[in-house]
Amino acid sequence: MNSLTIRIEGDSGDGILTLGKTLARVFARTGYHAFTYSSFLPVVRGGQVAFQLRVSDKPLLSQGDLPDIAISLNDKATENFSKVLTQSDALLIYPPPVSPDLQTLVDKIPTKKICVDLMKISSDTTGSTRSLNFVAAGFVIGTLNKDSDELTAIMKENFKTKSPSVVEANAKAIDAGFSIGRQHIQLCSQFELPPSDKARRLLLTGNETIALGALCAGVRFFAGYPITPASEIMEWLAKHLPMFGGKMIQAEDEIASLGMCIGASFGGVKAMTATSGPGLSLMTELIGLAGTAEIPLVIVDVQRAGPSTGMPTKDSQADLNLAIHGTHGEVPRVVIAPQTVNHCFYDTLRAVNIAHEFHIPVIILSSQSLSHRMQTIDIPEPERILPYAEEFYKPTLDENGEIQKFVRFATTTDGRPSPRSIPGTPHGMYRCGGLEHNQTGNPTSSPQTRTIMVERRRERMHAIERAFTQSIAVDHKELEKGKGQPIGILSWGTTASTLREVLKTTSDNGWEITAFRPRILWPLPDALFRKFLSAGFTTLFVIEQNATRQMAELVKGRYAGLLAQHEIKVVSLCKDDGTPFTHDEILRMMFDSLSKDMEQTQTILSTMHSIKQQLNLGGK
Amino acid sequence: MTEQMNQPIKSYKSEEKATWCPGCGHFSALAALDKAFQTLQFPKEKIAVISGIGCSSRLPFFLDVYGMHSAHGRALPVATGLKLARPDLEVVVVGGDGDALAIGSAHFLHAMRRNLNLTYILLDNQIYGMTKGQTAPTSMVGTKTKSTPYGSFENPIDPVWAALTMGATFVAQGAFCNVQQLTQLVLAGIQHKGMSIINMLSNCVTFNPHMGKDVLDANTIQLPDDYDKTNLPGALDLLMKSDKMPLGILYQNDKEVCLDDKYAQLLEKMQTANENATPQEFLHKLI
Repeated sequence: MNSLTIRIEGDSGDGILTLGKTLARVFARTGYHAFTYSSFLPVVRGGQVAFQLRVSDKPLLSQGDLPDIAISLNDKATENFSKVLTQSDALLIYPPPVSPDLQTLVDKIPTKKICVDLMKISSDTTGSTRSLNFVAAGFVIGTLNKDSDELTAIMKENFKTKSPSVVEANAKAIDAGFSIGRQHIQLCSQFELPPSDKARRLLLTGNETIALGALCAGVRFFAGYPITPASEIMEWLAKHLPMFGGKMIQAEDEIASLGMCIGASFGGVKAMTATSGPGLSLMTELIGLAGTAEIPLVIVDVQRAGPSTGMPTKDSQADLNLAIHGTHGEVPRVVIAPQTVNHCFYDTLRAVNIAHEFHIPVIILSSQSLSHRMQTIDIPEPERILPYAEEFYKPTLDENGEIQKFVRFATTTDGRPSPRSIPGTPHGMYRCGGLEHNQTGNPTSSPQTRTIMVERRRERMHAIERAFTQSIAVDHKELEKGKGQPIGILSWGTTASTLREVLKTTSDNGWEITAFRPRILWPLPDALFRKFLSAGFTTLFVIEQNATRQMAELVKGRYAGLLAQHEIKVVSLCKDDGTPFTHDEILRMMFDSLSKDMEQTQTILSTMHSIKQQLNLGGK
Repeated sequence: MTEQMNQPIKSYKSEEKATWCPGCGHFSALAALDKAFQTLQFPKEKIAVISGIGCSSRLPFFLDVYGMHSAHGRALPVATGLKLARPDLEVVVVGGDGDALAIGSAHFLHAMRRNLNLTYILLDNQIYGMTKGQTAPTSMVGTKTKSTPYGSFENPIDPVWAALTMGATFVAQGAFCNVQQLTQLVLAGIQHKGMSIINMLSNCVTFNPHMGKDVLDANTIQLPDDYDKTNLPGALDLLMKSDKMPLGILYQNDKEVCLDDKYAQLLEKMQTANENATPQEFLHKLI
């Protein structure tokens, strides 16, 4: 078995999140890779909650598709599972159905089944149904022939602040579930994973990892306003920043959050804020100020389904245009989109560095599914990306023994910024702001000076582009693969992580595809895009989770000439239903699109059929 | 360099010429601030003046200190971030009535309640001057402006009342025509540890010329010598009952610990308790 996908569904009061997170930690502690998906699944309605955990001895890049083990904690869940479980090798664990109709439905499910009343086991052993989740955890660990000690230890760590009676009840629940689970070991032997490497890893969410990255990058000021699904970044930093001399303040709104970051950064302290789409909409006002006053800072946008309030707990990738263009006028900025929890760490380090190297706002585009998922990551190595050593103005004497006057916006020849003077520095006093200004920072509306400043901001973007090709590593390993093949794929954000698994599947079936999964999205990494678009493909799939094909339109606009030259047809594979793309979904959409185009080679068609059969994808 | 530093600083003004209309009341705020700094002899590099947008918000450009002319209404958030990040700096905020009480009203309320050690000089001329004469949140009912050609309907906000009720720990009011008193108020505000607000009744010679010295003299009253500035209900009672705008320090509370000190105490406690010298060390304990 390559990976094991466990989906748990039940009532919102059943402690499913705790159950899922505890199981994930058991696997992580024993050296396995874990990947969770904790959003409310689309089939779930009302008080129903679902949690999906995927584990493997190898790194995981997506949440998985259909569950191998489906754990139902109520009849509604059993009914939902009956609609999706079509593979005979899966296992359904379900409570005795109340209605005979449901029993009939269950009988028709082709999977293996265990009917067990976990609720009753909880009541019988602990006197309460509240330990249902730990009965279930013990049961799963038992069926998988694993040791329950780690599970009990993790439960005790997580409940250390609770009363001893709660811990005792949960421990009993684990034992009871475990011994019953052991009776079904035979049925579950197929789910056995290869032995793990026993490596020590961290199990973190995207939000936690961004916060951790900020701390390691030297961010010592954070201002934020609560918003789903970004609040955990603020909460993590509220707890941890003071330990390292940093400050967190909860602002009155997102405009104030960014305003405070501008103030702190003007004062020479590295500053960051985090929000979601609605907050980024408000912040666009002050992105302009930070851009023109050349104040470095980092804004995290954890995208959620919009527009307006939209679906606050659902996934989307529709803020790209806002991140790239949001504010009136034109200011230089960088947009960087991590694809995995691991990226969240390093991309935050990079974002802080880029902001301070170029005196610009940098936007990290995360998304709901990335922010709340837990993923095992190798212990981060902050020393891999050392903090950018920004040089500040220091008063120096010129040849006449006079102190050289500080000029904040001094002209440079390479598009890079001139040094800042940090308040407290003698002779470095200057005024800046949102007004168009001359080199000293004082207001001007002279057409000549205006032109110089407009060019200064434009040149900054060019300097950034040059730096990307020189020093900033962009993930482009697959650029060399599949040269001359008719298909190319472009994707970004967490969708690009799932795409990596798709590429593995196609490659395993002898079909190499040239793919580009940029993490720096703005400015478009030009040299790499040119290389990618010249790989020889004639169909370019752009996969993203929005309706207006935001990345595809960017590429079509910027590279119209190159696309025409190579006769590349851009095909967008888009959805924006609130759920992240799955591996099977991407394949299905690609195949549906290719089937429509009968000019495609027979090779691809036969590969498609072979993958279809292997994965039981269905579709046209 | 050392010699220069030992000499008293005679002016904090910059080379940039103040661009206000001749006769504008805002000149008084610039003069008062300059004089207050001269009295205190703060090193110039230790001062930051933050403003929003509007005629009054041009002020930072006219001072040779660190400064930012931020965005409309956003002076207080910027100043809050700066002061929290750099409590060693003397941070002064300047803005007009529209900046403070219309577009920046939410920030105004929260700045007052936070009690950060900031000094806010509000230049209240009851009109939008920079946009050439529209009604302001402090305009009197009936004021005819370009946006209220038939007279303003809405009740004005009293900035002093708003500041007192939202928790500012130093609230004073001065008038542009009395620079001497204004200087004393600004000086006391800067020296106060906590959120200080000085509402300066200003004029606009171009768009609200009726707010001249005569009108202000007739509509203001000096606080009596025996006025108890530590009594908040007394200050509110006075504002409720008086039909004239009181001038002087209405309220001063030196007992409440300011926000910067609360953060300093927290940081000291947390850093002492923290066994990890660096985030890297901490990271390895997360496993």
